[in-house]
Amino acid sequence: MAIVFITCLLSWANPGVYITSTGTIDFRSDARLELIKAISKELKGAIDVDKKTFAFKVRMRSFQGFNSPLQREHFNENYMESEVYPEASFAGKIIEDVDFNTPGKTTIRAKGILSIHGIEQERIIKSEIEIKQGSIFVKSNFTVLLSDHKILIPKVVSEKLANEIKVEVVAELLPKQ
Amino acid sequence: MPKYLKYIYFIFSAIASLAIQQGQAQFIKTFSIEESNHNIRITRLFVSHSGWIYAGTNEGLYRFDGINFKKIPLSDTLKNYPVSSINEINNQLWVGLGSGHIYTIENNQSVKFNPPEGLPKVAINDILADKQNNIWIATSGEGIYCFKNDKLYNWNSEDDGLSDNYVYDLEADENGNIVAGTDQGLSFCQWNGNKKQVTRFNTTNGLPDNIVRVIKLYKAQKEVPAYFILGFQDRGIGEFIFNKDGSHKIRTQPADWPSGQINDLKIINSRLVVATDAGWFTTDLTSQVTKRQEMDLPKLSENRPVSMQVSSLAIDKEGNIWISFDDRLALAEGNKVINLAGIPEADPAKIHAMLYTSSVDGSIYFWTTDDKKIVRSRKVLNNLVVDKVFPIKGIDEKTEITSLYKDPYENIWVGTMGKGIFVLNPFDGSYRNINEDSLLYNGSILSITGKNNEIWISSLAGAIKCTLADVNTSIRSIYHFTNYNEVSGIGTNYIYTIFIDSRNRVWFGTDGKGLAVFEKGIFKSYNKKQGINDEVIYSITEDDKGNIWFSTSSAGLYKFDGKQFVNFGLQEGLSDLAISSLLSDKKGSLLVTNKRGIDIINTDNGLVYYLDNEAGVEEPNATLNCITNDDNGNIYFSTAKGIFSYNPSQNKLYAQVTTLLDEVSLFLQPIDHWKENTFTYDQNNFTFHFTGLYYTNPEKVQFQYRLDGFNTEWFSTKDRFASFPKLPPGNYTFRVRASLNNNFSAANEAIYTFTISKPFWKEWWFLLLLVIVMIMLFFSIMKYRERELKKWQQLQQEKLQFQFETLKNQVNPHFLFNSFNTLISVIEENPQNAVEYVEQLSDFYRTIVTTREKELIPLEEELSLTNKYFFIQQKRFGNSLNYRVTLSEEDIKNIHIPPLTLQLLAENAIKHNAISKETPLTFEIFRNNSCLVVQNNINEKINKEPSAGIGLPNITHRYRLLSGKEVKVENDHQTFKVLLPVL
Repeated sequence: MAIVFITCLLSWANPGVYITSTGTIDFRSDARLELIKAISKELKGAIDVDKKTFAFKVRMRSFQGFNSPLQREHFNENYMESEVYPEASFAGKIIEDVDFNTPGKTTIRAKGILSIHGIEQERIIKSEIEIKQGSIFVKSNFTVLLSDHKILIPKVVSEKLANEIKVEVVAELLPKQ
Repeated sequence: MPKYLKYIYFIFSAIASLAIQQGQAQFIKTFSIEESNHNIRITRLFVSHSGWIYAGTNEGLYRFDGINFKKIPLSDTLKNYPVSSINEINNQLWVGLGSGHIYTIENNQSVKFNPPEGLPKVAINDILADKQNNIWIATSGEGIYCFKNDKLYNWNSEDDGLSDNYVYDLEADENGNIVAGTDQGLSFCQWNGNKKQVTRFNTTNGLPDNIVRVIKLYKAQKEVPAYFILGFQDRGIGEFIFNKDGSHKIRTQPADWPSGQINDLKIINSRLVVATDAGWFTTDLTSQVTKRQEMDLPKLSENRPVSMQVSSLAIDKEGNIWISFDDRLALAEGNKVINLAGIPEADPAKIHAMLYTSSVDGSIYFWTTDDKKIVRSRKVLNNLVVDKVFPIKGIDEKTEITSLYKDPYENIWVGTMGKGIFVLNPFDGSYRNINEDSLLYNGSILSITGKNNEIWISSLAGAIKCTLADVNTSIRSIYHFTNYNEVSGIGTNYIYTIFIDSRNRVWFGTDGKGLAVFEKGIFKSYNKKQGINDEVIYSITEDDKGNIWFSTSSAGLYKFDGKQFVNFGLQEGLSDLAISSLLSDKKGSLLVTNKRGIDIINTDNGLVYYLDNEAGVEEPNATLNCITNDDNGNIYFSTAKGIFSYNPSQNKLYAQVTTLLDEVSLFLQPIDHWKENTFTYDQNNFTFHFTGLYYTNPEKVQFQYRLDGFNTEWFSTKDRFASFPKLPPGNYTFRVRASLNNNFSAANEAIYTFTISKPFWKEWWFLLLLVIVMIMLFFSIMKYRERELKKWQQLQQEKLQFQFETLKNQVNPHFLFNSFNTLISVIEENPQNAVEYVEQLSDFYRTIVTTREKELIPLEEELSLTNKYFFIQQKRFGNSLNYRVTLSEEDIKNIHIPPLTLQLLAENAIKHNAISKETPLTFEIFRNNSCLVVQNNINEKINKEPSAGIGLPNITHRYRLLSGKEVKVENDHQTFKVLLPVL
């Protein structure tokens, strides 16, 4: 359902919609024995400032980085099952009343469905947004628990992979033409 | 927005500035629901009107009885379903699921709520009924549904102006309006006739946070208007108050709320209990101080730290606070007795006396003893803070301080063992040892009490009264004492305690001489003669009704109502007879301390309940009378864990065990005992399942039951069921009651009345019917017999008559005459034939004689007779008489016939017809289907021979009597035909 919603938001022409397709999203797993980092610069996102709704999605295979090509393969094949669940998404609504016409920084809460590994979780994620002349800058830090999304960690790597994954999103959204 | 700013008060500033007080170990017990090797996460708690605790989990609904969880199936198909809300409307449990389904449960039967409009597709977060009994349903994403007049109405943000379609919580205000907490603020919903009316509040008009997760209506007192306490996602707790003029004000707290989102709020005795993602809190709603509760729990496993997220709260009927967090359900301590944290300088083990004082100037102090010194503390909320220490020279480590007393002039009297009394002036810390009375000098003081200007001191040397001066004087001035020793009337010099009651009588508890009372200058003693079996008396107190209670060394308590002494011991519910102190809370309860804990006796009904290990009270101080109370009835006592306060108003109801009859089974199959109560005689095997809900101490619950109509004795058990196989028919009432001890006098009963009917054959109407039927049957048999007899007689008569007729015919002179004439002619013609003729004739007669007695004879025999007859007659008529028998051999052998029938018919044929060469007679016998046909042609004689007309009717009649079949006679003036039924 979330995917349909995102697709609609991304494709509709609407003056109040701000979009990006080059947002960055990175995550880090800080386990006892290993630090794993990866980043994707293909985060697609849209904010409808009139309806106060938003949608973001990222292709799992677009993540780069990792400590080795093998690790990246494990990430896609074993943990995220990117063939079956190619995308992660977060879509929903903005809780705070934000005046998108007035430039400035503010912290908002985004409430929506976070879908990773095919498992949907209702989340409220705090984000900083900066409204500029002609663009919206979004920055958000949050954590994802692998157990929440039924991403199983084999016992042998439990020391190398943390259950708690720290995620950071940075994106600048521009008005849709 | 600025115009609302003036309404915003930061009344919760205590949280930010005063610091959150740290609690002690806060859980007494924890429970978990284990299903197939994993613990289930509890998400919702609910206490029903009957007292059950329900737990909603990700895998279904459970009911908790204090020991075990029992899964409640909602339907046959639904096994593991996430429960998202539990509510109760009109004694019906309403269970909302994560899937949007709703079930109602009443009397253990669950029914799917199925409105014709369909159900939401998203989780149900709350269900409640308004004053008009409309049912409101909060959903996570579809707004609110209102079930009104059997129709389901949707309230949403698009059409109706609801703040948001994601609704967390619903609450009704005092006027019956529904308030919804949503992702975008509060919505007040109101039906205006059939029109929906929504008033919204969010951050633009004063709310600190748009996400309102919990709403609780709170009314402090009757005269004060109620207001809402709100739990936010990001901003902690707030209050929403409507002013009388319709405006509102919102109270919030500082922005940096540290403890995550609010998950639940509950209120008990003006304490607000708050569940958050980071633990739980209690806030005193009158003083607004929040106390952070610490969750001191072991980790579940190395990899899995305990989540601090408290998802739900419940407060049971006993006032216990239950908390669900992670996969646990925990019973929180701290409602019945409060551990007064503090006095680190004082060792609880060294406390031998306590005193609570409130002075005229309003200062409240708590006095305790320690080695060589007296410690004065201030009570700040529920903490004790040491205020001043008063060291006293002359009291060494070996000197036990036994008592503390404050006189009207604020001086503290300190009683010791072996060092007499010290009087302490708390203002300057000066003190002196009293030496002006001989008994007090180096005396052993056991207790000090007093009223107004009189102070009473008990010692090992007798009782001493001190009369204070009318004005405050220095403690250096001389006190005036009066001594009462054994000769005075108390009976002994060893006096453990003195108590002055509300009527100013002075009571003395002695060692071995019972109880003495001093009233209007006269002593009176009570001892074994009055029924006090133990004459060593340690403590005396007076309840709110003026009864005197006292404790003894080994016989428990006695109550004296002015007339008689009634013992109150183990049988009545005391947990131990070694009582160290006794005190009335003046609100209907007595506190009794013993080594097991505190027994609390409700003096109205004698019910006892216990504060023991289970309630966090371990081994109270064993020093005699080391207990004190304040003006509000709060009682203070100490254990090795510290000093505790007991609040009487919060404890009144706790002794009551809720007795519930949970299930009635018939032949082990549960029945709907709320509806069924009449059974047939063979439905006689009953099992009753009952429960005594007492969450504080479920293991202590015991039962008594009896089945009125079956037995009259109460049967005691700790089992939770009773079986009665093979109950005889009758009217029964099953009664069960529960108690925490053997004292069931005030226990409430659960009752089930039912009837087992008698089997129908034991009912009076059936017996009556049976008698009537028997009588009728008897009469009909008699009648039948009579009829049969008559018939038989008739037959006999007919037969006789027939025989007579036949014989008459055969001796008929004509027959003989004709026979003889024939014989003559035959003799002449052929003597040989004549012999044959005569043989035939005699044979004929013999046959008649032998067969006539029988009812039926074979056709063969009858035919031989007829043959003989025709032989004789043919001799006479020659060829003019033809006789033809056309019958098969079988018929001849098998068919039976009444004797002489054919003979008679043949005779008749010959008799009535003219037989000549011109008119021959043919007599035929043949079979036609089921008839034997006897026929002859008709040639009527001109002169008819006289006939008795008996023959033919006689045959007919005989056939009818024998077989019931009719003989048919056909006469068409050509042939005469008789159809005899074949027998």
